[in-house]
Amino acid sequence: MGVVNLTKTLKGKTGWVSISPDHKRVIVQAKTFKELLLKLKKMGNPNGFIMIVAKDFSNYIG
Amino acid sequence: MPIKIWYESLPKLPQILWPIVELNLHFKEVTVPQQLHALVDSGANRSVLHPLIAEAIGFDRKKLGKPKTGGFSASGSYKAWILPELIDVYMYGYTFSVRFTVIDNKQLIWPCILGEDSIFEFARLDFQKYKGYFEIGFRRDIN
Repeated sequence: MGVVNLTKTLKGKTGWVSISPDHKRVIVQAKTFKELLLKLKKMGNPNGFIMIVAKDFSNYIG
Repeated sequence: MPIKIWYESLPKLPQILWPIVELNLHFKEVTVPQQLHALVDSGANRSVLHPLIAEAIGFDRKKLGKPKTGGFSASGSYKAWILPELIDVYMYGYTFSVRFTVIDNKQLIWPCILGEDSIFEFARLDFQKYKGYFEIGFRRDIN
C-alpha cells in the first residue's frame, strides 16, 4: 500500500464521479450529484466512492 | 490503535498529496448510497458540505432562507447557510454528528470538507506527509 494515485483512473473525467472501491475504475460520472445518484440507483447502488473531479486541483487554496 | 490513511494524488499535479478520507452521511431516513471523499482541512474552522449534497439529503434551499454573508476563505468572502440540524458521519467504524456549513457555491470542488469543528474534535490527527500517510486516532473517552 502507498499513496493512492487517482490520476490514471480520473484521466479525462470531470464533474461528479463514482469510482470503484479499489480506486481503479470509474463506475459512472454525471454533471450533478442528483444525476449521479439516479445513475447509481439504476445500477443497483454498487459499492464505491463519490468525488468531484475538478479540471485542475493544483491551484486550490482552502 | 490509530488508523493509517494514505494520501491521495489527483489529476494535473500528482505530486500534490491530499489528505482525504472516505465517509458515509446519514440524515433522518436518507443515507448517501456510496461513501464520499472528504478533504481533511485543519485550516477550516467549519466543516463544509456541498450544496448539491445538502439538497439531495433533504435540506431545501427555500426553507433555509437567504444564505448569510460574512464568511471568509483564502479566495475571498462567501455566503453560506449553517444547517439547522446535525448530520451523522460514519467513518472507519466511528460515528459523530456534524453541524455542516453549506457554502452557496455549486462549483465547490469537494463533496465535503472536515474542519476543526468536526473530526478535529473527535480524533487526534497526525499528518506525516513526508511518509505519504496520516493517522487518525479516535478519542476513546467519547467513542
